[in-house]
Amino acid sequence: MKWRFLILTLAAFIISFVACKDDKETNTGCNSSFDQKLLFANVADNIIIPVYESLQVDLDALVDALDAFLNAPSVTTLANAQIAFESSYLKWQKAAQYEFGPAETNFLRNSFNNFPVNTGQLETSISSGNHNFDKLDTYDKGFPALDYLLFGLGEDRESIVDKYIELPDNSKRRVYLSLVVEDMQTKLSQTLSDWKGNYKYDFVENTGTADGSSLGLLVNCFNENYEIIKRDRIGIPSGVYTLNIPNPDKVEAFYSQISLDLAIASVNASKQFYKGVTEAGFDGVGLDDYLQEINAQKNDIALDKIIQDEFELIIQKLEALNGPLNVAVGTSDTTPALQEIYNELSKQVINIKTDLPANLCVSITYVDNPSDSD
Amino acid sequence: MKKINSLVLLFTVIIGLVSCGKDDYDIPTSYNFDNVSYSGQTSRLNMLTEMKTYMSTAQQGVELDAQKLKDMFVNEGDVFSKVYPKQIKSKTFESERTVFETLMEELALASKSKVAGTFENSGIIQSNDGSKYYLIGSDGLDHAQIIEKGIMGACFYYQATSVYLSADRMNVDNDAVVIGEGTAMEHHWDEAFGYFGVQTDFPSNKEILSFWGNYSNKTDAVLNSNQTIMNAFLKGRAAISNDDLEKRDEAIAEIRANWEKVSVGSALHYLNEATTSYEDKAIRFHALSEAIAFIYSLKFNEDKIISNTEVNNLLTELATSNSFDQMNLYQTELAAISSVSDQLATIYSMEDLKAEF
Repeated sequence: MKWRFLILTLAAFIISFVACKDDKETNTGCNSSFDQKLLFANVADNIIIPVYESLQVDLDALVDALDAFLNAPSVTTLANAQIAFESSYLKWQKAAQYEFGPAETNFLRNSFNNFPVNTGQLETSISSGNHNFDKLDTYDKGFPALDYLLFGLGEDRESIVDKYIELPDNSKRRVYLSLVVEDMQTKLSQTLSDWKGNYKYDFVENTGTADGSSLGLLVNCFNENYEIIKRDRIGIPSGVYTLNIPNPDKVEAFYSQISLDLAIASVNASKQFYKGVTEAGFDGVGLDDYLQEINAQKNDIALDKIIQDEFELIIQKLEALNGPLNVAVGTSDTTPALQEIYNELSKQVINIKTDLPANLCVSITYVDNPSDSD
Repeated sequence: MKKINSLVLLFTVIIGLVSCGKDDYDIPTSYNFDNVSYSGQTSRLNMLTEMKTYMSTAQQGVELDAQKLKDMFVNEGDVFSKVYPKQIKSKTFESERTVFETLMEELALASKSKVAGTFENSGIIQSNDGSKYYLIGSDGLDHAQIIEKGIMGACFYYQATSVYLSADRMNVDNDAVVIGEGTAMEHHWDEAFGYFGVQTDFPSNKEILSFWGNYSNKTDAVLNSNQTIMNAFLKGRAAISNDDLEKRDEAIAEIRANWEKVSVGSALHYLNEATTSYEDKAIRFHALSEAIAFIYSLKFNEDKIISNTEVNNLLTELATSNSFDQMNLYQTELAAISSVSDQLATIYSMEDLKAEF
């Protein structure tokens, strides 16, 4: 009797001891036979480079539309510019998550999409004629600036057109509009030519799982971008970080009102990258195949299935919202629908930021949203 | 029997081992811990005190400078009696920063009035017994009160209950000791305490009370808030220094809940005053402005009982709008004051205490 209890307690002790230690299940992620180069080649040749090329086509069309608008400001030419803006902004959501290598060197994400736009800073940049698009922490450039300049300067198209008619009062604004998009064009084409040069080969050859390996870069950037969706696109506007008081003015694309479309596009882009879906729509080699190959499990379910199901659920819930997000967030308390989406987004963070890297044997090296204190 | 006893003992030992923390530590009766520092918080309390003093000169007819008030808010230029290394604005709940700047402009504008206050003109209004003077806007608001009490809510109360005691600031290192500041976790806790505005030996010492400390003392007779809140701060700090995170979390909940009650009790107090002095316009507007600011402050607690919608509804019922620049107190009827008071008391289960504040 006594011995049985003793053994039991000893067992309990050991169990509790083991429970205190980090879960380090053995997995094959660190020495799997998965051919990483297939993954990297698919990502480089069929995803990243074609996405940048496609974005470049969109930006060129946007430049043409803006030129036409500035040459002959009218409701029609403005509408065309607005349409070109929207399609390139949507395309950007696909390109945003590869902020390493050439994109990182050219500060692509900060240059293209620091939101919400700071209209005070923007107006000062216009009137003073001084701006520095290479600074990381300015909010007067990229798509958010275009959003304001093309949609935010008046109640309707007529009154916006008035701001661009060739008058002395408008000349600085007209110049700035072109400068914004030219800067985006320059940085994108630099990024693209870097990729098409040596970088692609370095990237594909950079195998292994160490910090700085291509797998490490992809997993980190995938997560960092995903957390921007969670925090900046949904979390901050919804009010989950601000005592449930929503911040409708903090949504992406506040003026053009396409915030919900952009949010859906960004989650879709995450999912497609994860699955290795090419720009042409073919389901190529992705992280999903990697996880399947090493048979990654979580609670006896395939981790890949958990991640894919969660993506579907999030997209479904986003699609059920009535946009734009600045309306969907409500006015005084976080709306249950958005809280729910935020919670789902958070669940996926555990899957892709904890479970996925642990299984693939890579480390998360970026720091998310550090907070200050004094 | 003997066997069972020894087994119980064994289990106890194991549980003790597994929980890894130290259960056996003393909680001091005053805030005398090693490496305590909250000078930044003390600076902000002193800065608001100086702003309050400056704003109150308007009651004697001094014209206020809006720019000076805004400079005091961000601590720019030579606007204080001494050098403070901190600012209030950057620590104020983000969406409210410009709200206070607008209020400062309105206050400064009102202070330039040369006529007595009416529903058409901002100006000074005297109480019926001639003892009190308040500068009241044409909207019936005592802007100085809204600014002072509003900053107490959107900055001090917010920073203490929802920033420093939040998971973000509490799930931090508790090993590396910085001399004079303690561990990161200890330091965050001390900073929350700093915003309470009391001395380390409160409540036996009630000589110097700032802002919330003062209002805790005013509601203490009904809520026993002084000892309750102080004990929670002491318990949590001792718990952190002894790695007892369970007790720390209990203390966080106690601080949030009881500090919230202080704001509720203060609001109820001023609603009572507005009711009994309804015929005395100066007192009524002044008291309603105080009540409005304390109700507004309730928003800024992460674990609050009331919802933001309820706060907004109460403010709208009391002042026709939940945003300060749209409010009007000239239309507030007795029935509305009593209705808001009832609703507030019901939300906090204070129906029986309501009249005592």
